[in-house]
Amino acid sequence: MSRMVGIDLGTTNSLVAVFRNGRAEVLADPRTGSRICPSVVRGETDGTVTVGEEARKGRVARARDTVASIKRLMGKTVAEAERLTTGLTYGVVDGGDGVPRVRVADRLMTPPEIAALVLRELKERATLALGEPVDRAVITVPAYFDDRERQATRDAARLAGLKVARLLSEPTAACLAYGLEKIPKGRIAVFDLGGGTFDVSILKVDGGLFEVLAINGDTKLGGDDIDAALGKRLLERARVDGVVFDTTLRVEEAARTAAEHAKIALSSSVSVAVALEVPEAGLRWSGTVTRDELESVASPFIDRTLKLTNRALRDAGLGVEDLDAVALVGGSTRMPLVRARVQTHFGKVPRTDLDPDEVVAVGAALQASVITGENRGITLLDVNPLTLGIETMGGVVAKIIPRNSTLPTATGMEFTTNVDGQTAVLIHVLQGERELAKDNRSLARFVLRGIEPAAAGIPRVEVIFTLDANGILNVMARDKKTGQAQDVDVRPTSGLTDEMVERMLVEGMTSGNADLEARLVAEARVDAEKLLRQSRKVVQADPTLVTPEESAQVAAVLKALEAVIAGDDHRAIRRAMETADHVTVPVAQRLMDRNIASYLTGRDVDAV
Amino acid sequence: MTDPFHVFDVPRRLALDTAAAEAAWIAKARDLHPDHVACATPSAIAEATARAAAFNAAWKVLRDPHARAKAWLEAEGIRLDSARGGLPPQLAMRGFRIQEAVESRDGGDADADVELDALEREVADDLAAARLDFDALCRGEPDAADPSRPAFAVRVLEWVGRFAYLQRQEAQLLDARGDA
Repeated sequence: MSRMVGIDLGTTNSLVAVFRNGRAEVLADPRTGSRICPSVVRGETDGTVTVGEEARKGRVARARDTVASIKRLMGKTVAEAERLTTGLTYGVVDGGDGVPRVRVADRLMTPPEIAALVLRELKERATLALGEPVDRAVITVPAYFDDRERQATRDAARLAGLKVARLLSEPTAACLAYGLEKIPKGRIAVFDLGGGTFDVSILKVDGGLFEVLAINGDTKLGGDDIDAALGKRLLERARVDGVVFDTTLRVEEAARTAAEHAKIALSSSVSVAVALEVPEAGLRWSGTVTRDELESVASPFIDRTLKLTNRALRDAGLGVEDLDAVALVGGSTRMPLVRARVQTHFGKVPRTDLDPDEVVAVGAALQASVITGENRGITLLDVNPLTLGIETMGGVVAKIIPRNSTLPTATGMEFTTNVDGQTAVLIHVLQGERELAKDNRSLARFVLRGIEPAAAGIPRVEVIFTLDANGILNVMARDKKTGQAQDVDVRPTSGLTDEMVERMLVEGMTSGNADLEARLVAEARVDAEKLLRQSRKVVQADPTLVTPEESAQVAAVLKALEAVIAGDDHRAIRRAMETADHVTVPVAQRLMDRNIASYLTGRDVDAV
Repeated sequence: MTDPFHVFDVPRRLALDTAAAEAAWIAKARDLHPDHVACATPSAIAEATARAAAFNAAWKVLRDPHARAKAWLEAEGIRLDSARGGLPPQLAMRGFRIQEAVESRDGGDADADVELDALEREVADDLAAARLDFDALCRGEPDAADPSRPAFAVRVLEWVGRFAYLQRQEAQLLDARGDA
């Protein structure tokens, strides 16, 4: 079996670590000796892509070709992505399918494809460093990533040729590292402020058991925001000093980069000289930035992190005095202001004994060792960050799995019809804490089909919603009367479909992967078999709906499909599936009631 | 929802030896954790996930007095919505006051914050009192065969409804402070 690595896929930097000889260690790139891989991608004129340190170094000069902080766009809709890229040097394009695209060299790529380039680089680095193939990984995500963002991360891994053994929350990973090496027992808060995201987790650690009690966070809050705000301040100061310049992309990027450097320098000194020079835009300015100035810019962001920290503590049913330790994680916690504010807030000196840049990757490698069985006696009980709900009458959300539930977890709900003869029910799944569906994030809509026609309210379909150990939603449905399980096709509201991922695997910069063909065939087979099952069920469900000609046609296409499944040409399988779809879909649609209004009979237990 | 008392193999009572139940949960959670099969086939992972999920979900209910009381009622065969309309009037009144205070705060009224503070304290006090009421209910639970059992169940139902309403008010107030 090949080696399993731990990967911290960060907004700013990414790392890969491995567990060997009884301990977890971050792997350096044997070509450069560097342990950190900047999460930066640049498209070249010849269509190739540069990833990592070299792409980062050219950020200002090649601002237009460089994509950084792609993690912020993972799983986002086009509209969300547009809002999020206002501070970035690249824009997004509507892909026409709900998934935003970003231009890299001469092509438009989805965020998971771009993240896959970074993952591929890490995979290659690990393969070189270890001298053996690496194709499985534990990948960390912000604890506050929702289902869509987690799915997007999993898609990115798949595109990079990595099998995800587990998606692990970043602060939980950090806690695993601290718990094993430094704090073996007690209640710990992990305060994780990275480049683009903030998470806070409250955990209980005891004898190898890591129980997450509560998490909170913001996937749009990080050091990037401080850089952007300080960069803006620098440009304002230049303007006040009488410098006349155009605010071009390069000017903004130069200011942001200068701000980032100043911020880092101000962690160890109290003032720093800054120079902005973009001659073609007329910008030539220099000045001094003090730590006080940085701190006044950064303060509102830190206020917000502490507010979210209080919410996590409240959810855990604890006060700051109940905590035994506070650990700092993420590059942004190097800022003296962050450390000082955290210390005041918790009333104790925060722990920084593990490298805040590396601790998450180390934790991911530790979790990999738990999964492979190399490291026994450790159990990690993580929780879901956001309440899962479904839309009911009037756009109100019925909460079905509350936030901070230990994973995996599941809940069952019973659905019925509200119109006589109705054979389908539409279910809309949401994630978030707000009361109205429109204020929460839409995860998926799916249709419960194949309900036996009956008087309204008579059919009883039980739907089981499961959040797996990765925090990803799975849905199963079962007719209570017949016990018949139903296939539920959950379509993400924004995200890649399996077909899109496959197409990308074929077309993308991912070719040259030896096992790619085999995997595509295997995947096509699974999908084709599912289609076969579903189609047969549809035809059998109500033979009166099908004309004899249609019946013969369906039988023919399904037989053809069955024949190609036996072969190993995935393209032929896909083509046969398409043909079968053309024939069976009209029949399936007829089966489905036109009126798919949904109605919930499950007792609304929170409204009693 | 499967009966969490059954899943944990504990008697169906409002009062629970939380420490013992937690220890049982931890032992099971360790044992059933999908980490043990993360490299196995998808169906093995799904099976392990389902088993662990059932146990975790039951613990989530049992550990929380309000959720436990609801599960207790459900196991007793009592419909939770049968209590509708039985809400103490002062609670309903406070619902209106919260709405008004939020609206006037949104309208720029500076005094509204004082009212919101006062409401927050009232709700917190009521929640604390309700928690004590629950402890009293736990102590007074009659045996399953006792003739006073149905009357007791009605009191539990009343408590569940009141507590849910208080939690909702607490959430509304937190939401109003942008703190939800």
